[in-house]
Amino acid sequence: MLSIGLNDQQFIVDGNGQRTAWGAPDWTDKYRHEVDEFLKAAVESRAIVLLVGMPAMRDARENTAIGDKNAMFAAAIGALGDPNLHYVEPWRLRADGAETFASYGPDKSGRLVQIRTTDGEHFTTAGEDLAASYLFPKIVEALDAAGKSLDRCLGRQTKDEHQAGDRVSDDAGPAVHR
Amino acid sequence: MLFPTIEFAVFFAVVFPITWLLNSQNTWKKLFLTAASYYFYAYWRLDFTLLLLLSSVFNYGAALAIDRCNDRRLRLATLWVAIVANLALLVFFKYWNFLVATLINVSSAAGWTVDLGFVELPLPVAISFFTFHALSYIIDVYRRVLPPTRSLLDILFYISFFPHLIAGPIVRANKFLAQTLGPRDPKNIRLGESVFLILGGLFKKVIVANYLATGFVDGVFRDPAAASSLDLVLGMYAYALQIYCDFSAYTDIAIGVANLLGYEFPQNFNYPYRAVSVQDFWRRWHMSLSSWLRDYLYIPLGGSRFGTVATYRNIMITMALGGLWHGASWAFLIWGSLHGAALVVERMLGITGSGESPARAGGEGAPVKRSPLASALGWLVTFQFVSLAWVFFRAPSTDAWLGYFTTMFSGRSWSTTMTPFVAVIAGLGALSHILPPRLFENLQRRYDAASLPVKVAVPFIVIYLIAIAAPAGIAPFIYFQF
Repeated sequence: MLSIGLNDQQFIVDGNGQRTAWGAPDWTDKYRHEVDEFLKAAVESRAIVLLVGMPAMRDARENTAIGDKNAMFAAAIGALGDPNLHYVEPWRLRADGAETFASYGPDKSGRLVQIRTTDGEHFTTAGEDLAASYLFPKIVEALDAAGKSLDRCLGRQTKDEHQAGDRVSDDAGPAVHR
Repeated sequence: MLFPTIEFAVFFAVVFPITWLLNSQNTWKKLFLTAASYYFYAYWRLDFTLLLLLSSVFNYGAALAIDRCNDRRLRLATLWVAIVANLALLVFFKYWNFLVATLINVSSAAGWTVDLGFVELPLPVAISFFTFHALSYIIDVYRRVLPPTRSLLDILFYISFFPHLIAGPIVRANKFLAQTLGPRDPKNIRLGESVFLILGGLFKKVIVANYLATGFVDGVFRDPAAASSLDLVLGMYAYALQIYCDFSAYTDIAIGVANLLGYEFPQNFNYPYRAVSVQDFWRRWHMSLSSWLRDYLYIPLGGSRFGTVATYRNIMITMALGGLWHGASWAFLIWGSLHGAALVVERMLGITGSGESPARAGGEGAPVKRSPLASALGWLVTFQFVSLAWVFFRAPSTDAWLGYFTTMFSGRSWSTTMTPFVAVIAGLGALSHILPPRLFENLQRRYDAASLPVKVAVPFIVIYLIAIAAPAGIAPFIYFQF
């Protein structure tokens, strides 16, 4: 799971060492190319990738840039059409309506707390909890779609494997547990 | 721009020679330094410079207006209008959202509905610092500590002067404005001291504070519930070192840079972790803030002049607001209040700040120096208290510090993720408190007596070594967020 783009408003250095300055006419195309190359590498490695869009930013110009990048990520993933690649819509404070930056929002108990830092970009710890609660079901959904178990991915036995381990031990001596 | 960056080095390489070339033409020099300071501030954000300018112009006019009042009540009323205006600016940008959220939460708990809007504006860099500079100026004019300056340039220069602008030290107007009256004497530059302050500051920030943060502290504080108890204990001490090295580095560099330009700034740190009491700590830590709070808050509240209960109340108010000055969160308020409570307890127990016992019973006789054992115990208790209190500073949310202390005291696990490298870095940071001052003074004297090639080579070599040893990227100084 990754979120990229916030610190990418700078020059791009390609594989030949050529630099493209931020704001140059071909910067967006170069950036899109970098994103495409990354996603293709992910497809080849058969990794499950959740590319999460960035949330609303306080600065209007930054917010527009983030929106453009999110659209680019979604289009790139859609174009590849690989079932292991997922674009995840960014976390939103409001379920409907236009999303605008808000430094305060309700935590899980409904109390208003600061959820975004004073730089107008990052999450506070409380905000990270909200974002994590939003993203966790997306991880489970993506793993289920790929036929993988979250427990297995975390290195734990699944319930079935645990039961299978118990049946083996009934038949053939001491159990072998992972 | 941050001090330990190429951008600042280039900036200072331009400002320094031009300042001294203009030295004999004091007005032009002040104009140049003011312009340079506004450029320095605009590097963060151009639109903030308007706020800085407006604040400076307003306070320039307010001081003149206060001074013109002959009637005592009108004079006081004018002062209060100016104070409220300054604080309103600070409250609007820094505390409005916190106050609105608190009001809504309290009302909601009481079953009422409050409809107040949040303000989503960026927090102007250094607003806490330049507001306090401005307040010290107008209050000192009211108290007739200094006359108001007729020169708008002098006020613009005082409030915006780039070495102290972003994160202090908080320089009193009467001390600084006296230095703007004429050319500065280059013989007063303490070259060795300034160079060592700057180089030492770079080392403390770029190496010690940065590596402690990225190599250990940030990881521990990011998810305290997942850390071991030992990591949380070490994280607490490591953060104590990190914040000291980070903040003292900034003011050391600021003092050194100012001195190279011919201006004196006050000392801001005096080995705070050698303190043998909390009172002693506040005479060593962020001294320019603690003296500001004493002179402009604690004493006007009545200080210790109106009895024991009033004294305790004044201490609590001063320290709580001092905590809140750092940031709009309950954690900072709790941090300040804890220190206030500790100061009150020390007063109740008769513990003085200097390590001396109070006079013998009956109030007669000279104060008695504490025994080494008592001093050691005092140091141990003070350092543990200060370090524990820093957890509130670093983990500025209720859930974060609750999680930190719960896990730390659970004794869950005594493994550690601190690497030997981080332990060495922490040791280097601790050396800044252990090594005797005369060691650095000897080095400075040797530097001052050295030849010109050596004087030039030493800073370049040290900066080069710091640059190659530094981690990638420079995190902003912790006190920039205030």
